[in-house]
Amino acid sequence: MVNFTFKNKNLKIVEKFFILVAISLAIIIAGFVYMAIGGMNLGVEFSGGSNIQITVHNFEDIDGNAFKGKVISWLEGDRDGKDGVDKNTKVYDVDKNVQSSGRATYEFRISNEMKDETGKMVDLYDIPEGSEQPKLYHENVEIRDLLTEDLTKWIVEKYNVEETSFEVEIEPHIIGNDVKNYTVRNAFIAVAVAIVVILAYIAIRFSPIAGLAAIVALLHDVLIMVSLTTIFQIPVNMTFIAAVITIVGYSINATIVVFDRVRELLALPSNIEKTDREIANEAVVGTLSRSILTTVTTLVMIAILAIVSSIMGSTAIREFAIPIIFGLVAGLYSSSFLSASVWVYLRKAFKQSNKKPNKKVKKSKAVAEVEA
Amino acid sequence: MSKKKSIVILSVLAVLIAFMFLACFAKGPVPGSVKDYKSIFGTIGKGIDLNGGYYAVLEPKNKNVSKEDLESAIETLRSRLDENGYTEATITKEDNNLRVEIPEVDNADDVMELIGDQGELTFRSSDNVTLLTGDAIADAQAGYDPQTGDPIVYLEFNAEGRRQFASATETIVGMETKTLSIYLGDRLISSPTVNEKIDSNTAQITGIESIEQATTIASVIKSGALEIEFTVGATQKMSATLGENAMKIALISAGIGLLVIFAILIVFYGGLGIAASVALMIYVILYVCILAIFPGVQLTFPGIAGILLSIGMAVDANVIIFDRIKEEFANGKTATSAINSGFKRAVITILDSNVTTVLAAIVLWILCSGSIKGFAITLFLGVLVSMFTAVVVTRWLIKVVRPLANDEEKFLNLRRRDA
Repeated sequence: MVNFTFKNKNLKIVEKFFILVAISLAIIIAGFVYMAIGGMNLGVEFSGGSNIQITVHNFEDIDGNAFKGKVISWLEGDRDGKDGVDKNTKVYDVDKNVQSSGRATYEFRISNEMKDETGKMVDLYDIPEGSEQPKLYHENVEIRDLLTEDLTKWIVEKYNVEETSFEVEIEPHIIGNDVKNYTVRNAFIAVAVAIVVILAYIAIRFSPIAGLAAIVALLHDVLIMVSLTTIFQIPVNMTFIAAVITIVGYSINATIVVFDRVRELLALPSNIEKTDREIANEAVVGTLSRSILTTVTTLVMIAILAIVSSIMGSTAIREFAIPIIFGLVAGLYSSSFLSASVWVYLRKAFKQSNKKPNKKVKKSKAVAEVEA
Repeated sequence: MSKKKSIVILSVLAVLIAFMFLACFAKGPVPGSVKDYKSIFGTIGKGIDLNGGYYAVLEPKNKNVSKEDLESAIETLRSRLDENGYTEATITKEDNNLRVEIPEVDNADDVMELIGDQGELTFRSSDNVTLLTGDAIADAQAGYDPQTGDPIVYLEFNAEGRRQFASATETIVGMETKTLSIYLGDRLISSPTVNEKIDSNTAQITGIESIEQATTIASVIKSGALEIEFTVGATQKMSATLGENAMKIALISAGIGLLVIFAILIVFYGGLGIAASVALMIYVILYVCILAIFPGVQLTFPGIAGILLSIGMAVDANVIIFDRIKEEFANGKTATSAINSGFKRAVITILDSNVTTVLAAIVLWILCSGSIKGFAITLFLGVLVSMFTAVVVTRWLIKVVRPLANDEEKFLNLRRRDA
């Protein structure tokens, strides 16, 4: 059996604070540079527009690139020589291809913008009041039928197969601007409210400074997640927001375990002479094995999910799992290496250093029992 | 507790757990019956992203729509959905928009197109003059034409409507083009030719493609026109096969993940790890049962991750406790008092750290809709159940496994602090 503990070591975490912060800052800055250059890979829920997922059932030997080329030129208006009504729409290959036994799925993004007669890009949903709004939905039903028909014909001609032996299925996902704005706004509000509620709880149960330090650690985790997601160009949609909020809830656990230890050490009469720095270092070292072990077990769970979903071809689950993995690692890092140091520096800044709680009043009941 | 007693308890527990795992996850035909056993896990409500289905967000064309109009529009939509058999469909407000979700439906396109339609019924002459509106209708029913077998909609006029219809047909007969066009909103449904004045309290709409469409048209006419004109702001159809695939992935991952976690726990904590592993199995069973019976649970794509995450948190609670026990023992306590004080002290830590997660889940549940709401509820229930199993069940199981040891320190992987 294995025993790993850091209890007798002094890792001097607080002394190494600035190096540890620099590592995080480097990742965050890199992420924002990427964002400035290439932008985030926004999913359809956040960018608006339409995604269409095209699945070919019961036909394995399709040449993916040729098929995608056909779909894109079709969607951009080239209908076998005839122009479609939606000519000059922008189409992107989302590069989300799933091939599993008996079916191949491809996904494309069609933006809400379209060139009008004068060559100007206009938003399909942003039509001035009074003029006719494009009935995107009804049009799509027709366009979809037409596309299904043409793609079926294309496969029959190219591969010389029976029309009835396979099936082309098209599933659209359309998000208008109004819905997009609602989604984005709600996501931000949800994250913000969750953070405020957590801050309030820690301020009450621990101290306002511990609450502040916990929020710094949280923001760190969220920023690292956003940065790495940008760098690796993982699509951002509602599931990403779920991932962020999950990490907010999870990494605060680890931070609280550290502050719980700080609170306990502060209350011990034998620690009355110790400085904040010593207490912070001791709290981090005392909780490090727990933090690593829990993060590892949760990581195992999510990593297996990511691997199995890659093998079995579910990009949606993988896209949820990978940001969570980023967040778990960031959470371990911030709770163990940053949060206690931030607490020390904030106490210094607010001139609270070395304030020990009055033993008789503040000492918690459980600590008293443990001592007994 | 004697060694014999703990072996008996553990054996009974093993049988019970095995049985419950089968009840939770096994599915297949029931012997001697035509029905399939769906498994407890299978009865958990599933969102449209897993079960397949369709959603659309309806945006009012006029942004300054009144609250009352919106409420009555919801009622109208509700009755149209019910009339069409979509009793499982949900309508939720997102600001002024309405999100309509229809589970387990394949051909919702056409249905939604009609249901979201303002749906004002009008009878118009060939020069597009409205002669009759939906106010004239007392009832509408879908059915088949007894002669041709084609799907039709029977209309029944009220007294005023009968009079209006008679005078409308009279007008048409006097015109050059003798057609009476029937519109639902802007959609032309049929244009029958009228050759004589009709004084009757019934009429039929023909020229309908299918009986499903006839049902929808009848329901739209009966529910009356929507007070608000909508456009479709967002829509997605989700395939059930993708959802099934996701569920399979999640179950396989959870199975493998749990086995790996058991191994880690036993390697690090020995006998304590065995107790925790059994407790985790009980946790999974309890969690699945609670998800199945708790009202309003909707398993969604992110919800699956919420489940896996709360398993991670259940492990966390055990690790916090065991670390504490190890520490107490290292500092010189006996095994029994180390376990007791370890639990007492760790409970506070677990409570403080899990309450924040519960709070975050509640915020999500209140503020978000759709699949994120499903995530929030699985996380919320998962954390609550995990606190219970870690604190109560694990503690009891440690009592059960301890008599199995010959060398307790070695069995529980406890060590004194090196001098």
